[in-house]
Amino acid sequence: MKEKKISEDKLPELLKTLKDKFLVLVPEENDGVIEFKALGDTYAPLPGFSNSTRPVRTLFHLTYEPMFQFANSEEGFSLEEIQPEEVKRVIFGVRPCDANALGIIDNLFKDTYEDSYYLKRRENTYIIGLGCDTHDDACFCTSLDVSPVFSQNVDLMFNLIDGTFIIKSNTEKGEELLLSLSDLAEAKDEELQKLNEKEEKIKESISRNVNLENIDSRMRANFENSSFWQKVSGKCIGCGICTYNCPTCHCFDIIDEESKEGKGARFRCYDSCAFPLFTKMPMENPRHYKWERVRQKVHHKFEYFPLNFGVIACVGCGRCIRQCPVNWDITEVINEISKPDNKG
Amino acid sequence: MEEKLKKEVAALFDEKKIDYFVGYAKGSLMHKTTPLITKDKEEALKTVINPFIYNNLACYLRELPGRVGVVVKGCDSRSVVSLLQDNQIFRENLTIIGIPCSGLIDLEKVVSGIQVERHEITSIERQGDKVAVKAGGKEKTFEAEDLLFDKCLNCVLPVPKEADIMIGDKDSPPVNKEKSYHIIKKLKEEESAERWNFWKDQFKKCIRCYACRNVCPACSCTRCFVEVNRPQWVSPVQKWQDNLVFQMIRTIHVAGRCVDCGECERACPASIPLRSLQREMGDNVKELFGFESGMDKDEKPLIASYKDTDPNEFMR
Amino acid sequence: METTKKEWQPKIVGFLCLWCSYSGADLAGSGRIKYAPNVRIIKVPCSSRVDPMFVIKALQNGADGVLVSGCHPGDCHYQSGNYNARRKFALTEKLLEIFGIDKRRVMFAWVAGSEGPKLAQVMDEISRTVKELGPNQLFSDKN
Repeated sequence: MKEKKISEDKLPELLKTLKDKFLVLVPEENDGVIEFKALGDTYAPLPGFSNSTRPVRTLFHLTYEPMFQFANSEEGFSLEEIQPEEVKRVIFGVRPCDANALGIIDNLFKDTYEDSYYLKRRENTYIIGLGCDTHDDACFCTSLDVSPVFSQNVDLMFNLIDGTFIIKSNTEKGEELLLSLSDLAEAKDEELQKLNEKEEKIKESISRNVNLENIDSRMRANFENSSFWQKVSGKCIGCGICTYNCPTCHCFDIIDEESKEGKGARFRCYDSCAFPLFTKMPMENPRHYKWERVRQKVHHKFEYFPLNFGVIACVGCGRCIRQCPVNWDITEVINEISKPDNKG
Repeated sequence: MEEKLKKEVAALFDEKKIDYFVGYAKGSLMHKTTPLITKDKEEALKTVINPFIYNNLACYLRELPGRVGVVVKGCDSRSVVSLLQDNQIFRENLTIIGIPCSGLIDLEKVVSGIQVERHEITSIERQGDKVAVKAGGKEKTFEAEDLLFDKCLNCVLPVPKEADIMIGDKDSPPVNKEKSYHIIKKLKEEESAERWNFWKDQFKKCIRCYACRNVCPACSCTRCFVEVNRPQWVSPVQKWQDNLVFQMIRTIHVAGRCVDCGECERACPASIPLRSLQREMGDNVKELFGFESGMDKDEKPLIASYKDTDPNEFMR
Repeated sequence: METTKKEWQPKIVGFLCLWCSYSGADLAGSGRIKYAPNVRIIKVPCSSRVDPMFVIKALQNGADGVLVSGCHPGDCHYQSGNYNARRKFALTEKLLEIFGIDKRRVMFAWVAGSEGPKLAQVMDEISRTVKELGPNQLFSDKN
């Protein structure tokens, strides 16, 4: 389908039409946090460069969710499965990096075991991407081959060019969505040309980059370089910001909560390899020291995940750098690994 | 000041007085700084001093072996003293390099003040009571007290007391108690139920990343109560109830150790005003027991000591 | 259920020091002193064993009130346990205030082993106060 367009001031109206059929989520700033919230009376775009504080994957792989509930009473033991509510959702304003990340973790959630919680939500959600007009100094998507204006994992892609949104449909779901909207004008070739120019301009201006040349062999060769890892992990405080707010991290823990009356539920909740308690419950956390845990995080993203699924589990959204209390910088670490003279 | 610090650090390494240096280096993001922990003299000379050295480096001292030279601001020096009181670190292993502080600039306040994003701001310069901010074509001068962290506006100890080497002269941030306390004051005026609802909503945002605990030098337990699962004090499921209980217990566990460095609040990715909790607790500690954390290393820790004259009237 | 007709009864957790307050309860019992049955007693070796987090956890887990009781100052079996505890208790009260929990739900008392009647009084008092305050809904998801 050819690209469509809509003028910027018509967007709130368009979103309102969607609201009749879907739960529409849009980014909203509230109390210092940018979150995807249900669309209220009208849509107000956020100024400047912005991305949600937490990545969009947190709307599919929830911080915590019940999997089943159980009750133990005189009548016996009962167990009831809990599946996510089937709500048709539209998420508007997803940045290309976050959308790409969904494509990456899809691999995992539909691997040998199909995760119904995640996949059902994926199925029921239409993702409308919003191309970036600017970026900040933590962004490094271009190094990971993520375009700042497009992602393969959106249904529709919006890009603002001179007061007009160019709408590109990317999937059948997207086309279906587009058809349901009242007729939109077709985008002109020169507008598409301008979009390309915009893409080039942003790509050029992103200066942070990670060197991914021979990344797997470099990583492997460096694995046992403990003095290197001790050095780069020195200032890490071992909190969970960079993993909890990473668009591709996906570790979870499973917890039973039981009340005094014998009722309870089994929950799945986030867990982080940065914590000393990680995997301690089933056996032992094999990574006793902070530097081992830091190494695990980096290796998982840049070595193990590519080994399993053929794709690096990083999209360069920059959250781990931007939100880190000590400005620990993964790009510096990866680039350091590349240096042939690096002896730690 | 920076030059003097570098000279002192070089001397410390040359005289083999320290194994590690803990200071600040330029961060990888515009205007930010990052902790610098190194055994290497050349590396250590990358150290900087500017109004953005917000990390409280005392949080690294427990884990570093050997003799450590550490850069501290007034508030950080109180953390060091507090750790000394608790026997968590040893004075003979430390070379404390004190920096008199005239307040730290809160980048979030700068951004909202000039309405330009952080990475686009070209320069932020402190000139006495004023701060000049340049961004693109824009230029604006602010009163320092409008851009400093809330905690700085009611600083108890701008000049480190327990220091071996002092870099620079006496300095102190402007005082504006009103501004420093605006959240605490607002909450104090409210009914208790409203206060509860305020914190309840705040902790719905909490993702339990434990950044507040991990940046905190006062949180010095080797195994935190949240990591104990027999009994399970706090469920790992990130419901607001457990988030709130975690912070409640943390608040009381650091009472008498918290020095109002404000790191918990700055580190929080969910923008929860954590500092107001700790600060109010600290004020209560002072009012009830006349105890101020981290002022005198020979003083006994708050909970490990008592007086006959401690408040008793609340007891039945 | 048949209890609906009955007046609501609060559940109160009582942390009682083994040496004084718990003996006080024993004495109240052997003296046949009648007092409110709402307090579930947990015996602790000393009032300083009570970490403020016990109080908070009791409230979170559904207790409507909490009573903490130990030996009078100067009477501690371990010399100074209750003096240290007193500091923590004063701070606990402040903590409740800061977070907006009604501090009347939590009561701290000195009860000696010889004070059976005082123990009964304290039990009655906290039961009455908490009954007036109503069920503890603080941690409920409903409101």
